[in-house]
Amino acid sequence: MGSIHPALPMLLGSLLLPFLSRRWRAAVMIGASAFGLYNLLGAEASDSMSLTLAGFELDLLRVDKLSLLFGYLFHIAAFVIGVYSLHVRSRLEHFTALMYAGSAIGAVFAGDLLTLFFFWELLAVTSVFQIWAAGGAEARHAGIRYLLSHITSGLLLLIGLIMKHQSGEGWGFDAMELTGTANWLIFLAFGIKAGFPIAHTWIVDAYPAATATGTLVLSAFTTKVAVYCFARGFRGADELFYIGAVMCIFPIFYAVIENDLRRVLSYSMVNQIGFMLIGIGIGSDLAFNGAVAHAFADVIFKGLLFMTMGAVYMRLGTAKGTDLGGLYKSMPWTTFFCIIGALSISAAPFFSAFVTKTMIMQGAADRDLTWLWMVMLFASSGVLEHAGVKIPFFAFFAHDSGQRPKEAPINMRLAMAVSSVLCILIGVFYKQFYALLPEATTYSPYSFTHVVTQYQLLVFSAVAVFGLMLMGKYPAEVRSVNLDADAIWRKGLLGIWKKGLHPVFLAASAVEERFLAWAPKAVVRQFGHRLPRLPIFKEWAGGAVVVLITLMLGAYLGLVLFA
Amino acid sequence: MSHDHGPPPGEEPRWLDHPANVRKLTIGFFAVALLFLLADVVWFFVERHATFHYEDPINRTAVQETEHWPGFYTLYSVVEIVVLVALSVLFRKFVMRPEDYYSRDYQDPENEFTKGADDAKGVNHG
Repeated sequence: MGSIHPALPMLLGSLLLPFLSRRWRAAVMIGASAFGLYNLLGAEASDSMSLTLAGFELDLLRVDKLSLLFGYLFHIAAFVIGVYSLHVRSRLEHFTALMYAGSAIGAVFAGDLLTLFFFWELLAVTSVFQIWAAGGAEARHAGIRYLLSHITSGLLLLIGLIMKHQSGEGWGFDAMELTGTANWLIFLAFGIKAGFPIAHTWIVDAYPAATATGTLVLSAFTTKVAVYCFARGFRGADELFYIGAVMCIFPIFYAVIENDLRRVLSYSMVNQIGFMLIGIGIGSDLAFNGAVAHAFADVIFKGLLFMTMGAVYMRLGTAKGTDLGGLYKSMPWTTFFCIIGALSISAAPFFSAFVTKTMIMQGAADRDLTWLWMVMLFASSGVLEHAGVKIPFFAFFAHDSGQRPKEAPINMRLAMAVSSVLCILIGVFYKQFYALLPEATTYSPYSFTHVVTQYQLLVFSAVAVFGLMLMGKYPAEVRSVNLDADAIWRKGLLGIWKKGLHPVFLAASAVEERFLAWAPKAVVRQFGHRLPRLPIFKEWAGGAVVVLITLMLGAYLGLVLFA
Repeated sequence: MSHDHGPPPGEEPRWLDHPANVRKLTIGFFAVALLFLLADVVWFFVERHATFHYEDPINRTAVQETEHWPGFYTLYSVVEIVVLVALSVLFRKFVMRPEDYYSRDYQDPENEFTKGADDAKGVNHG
């Protein structure tokens, strides 16, 4: 064994960061991920590590090809993040980013659900600082909504694992059937983190609110941990490919009309996770390999795209389509890397997604799931539209905005270069990459027909997009927000409070005032101070919902524990 | 906002700034597309390897048969993008709100997002 637990280098390294100067912080961040990767290369499938804590036996380490693949991935991601955020001055951002990476690694090597739960919560708590570090009311509120989603997910996981334990199944983290309340709760807990439809709003809400580097940090870990958990726990569950199909399709409509390019990428992320869940849901060796391979490739190419938009955001303070255009003139390197990322996400042959997404689609075809195959084909050319054309075109070309921001700093360019090279390496040396996948495979994506048909799909999607632009039919970028499921709680529930409940409280407090004015002085002196002062509820406007949800979940937890 | 800005005065125009060059690129791109369409013409005469493997071609469903049509991928992607964009434009009518739709609830003096609320004018990149 590599001598220490894979999560330790980063978790311990992160604890040093608050006490170091900027140079040393950089050294520790990059050093911890490099050493961690070296340490992981020495890990073997038979390794295990357990710990007895308060009478509970915890299985801290499970090493197999599945966990190793995600382990490698998170180390690479942490390394790239380390380089990309070298210029960042905030201690807090560095400290929480490295601890966040460490907890993602801890989660994928967790051998039981209780250990997973511990890292699940650590993921939530450490990552929220990437949003709050952006400062301002927008980021503060987005961070709180982000935490609410993740705490809900954590509670569902906790309730599920306690129920499993009480029913005598134990809390081993192995393949589960989708039967019984406990497994469904765990499924939903994973689902919130993976961005199931409706629950997906935390992704498109929080990512664009984070700092320039924070969006990259957030995009690498949380959702991929959830994908790993589905791969571990729910391989072959049919529900997953129905949900995945929905996740593939609906975000591409939002992506067409969304103005904030970082949010376009966030919708794109939901779409890509849809592909992964489909692969896991199909569950055949080929599709399953495709799903985890796609998760691997996605962290790198989506990270690359987030890095290019992060560079633009850092230089201009905005990544909105309406404010950008013509940036290739002063940011040629960023433009170049963005195009590499765009080709990769669009699954152009010889780039990474081509060798990964193909396996999922072939898996659907092999199982005769024609409708699913068509859905993925639709989603694929939708990806080309928003990530392949819209992002690079509107940011770097299109109309000249007249802005000439400086090129991204050297460390950011270096990080983008590393990811670009990886995107191409995976696409070209796919055999070596496939050897890392959990199932043995002899699949080859590069048949002549497949390469040509894929280029046909991409080229003609682009023809259609440019054709629509030339005809003036392509929707213009507009300063706007688009309603998504979160309008239900951000506007709907708030509206019920403001228009429904709050007036009732106000009326009640008016009655109270009247009573105090009317009642004999002696009575008021005796009892008046005991009456609750109702107008305090005014302060509760947003908080009421939070408190209500927490109380409900807490009550349920109590019922489960003591019933 | 961006549509009334051009390059800063005195800046040397780039190759891409000349409409003639943009036209060249566009024509070049459509020429490449034509080449890929040519592949379909060839495939019209030669049976090709397709995604769905069937020993017995009679058992193919209609859609699986479709994949073998010459021009399937080209046609599918063009139609799809047009449908996608058309539906999105329709969808936008229902879901689009002013940029400060959520942030005006915060009533936070330090919130820069509440400024410029009436700046909701469109910019056509096309």
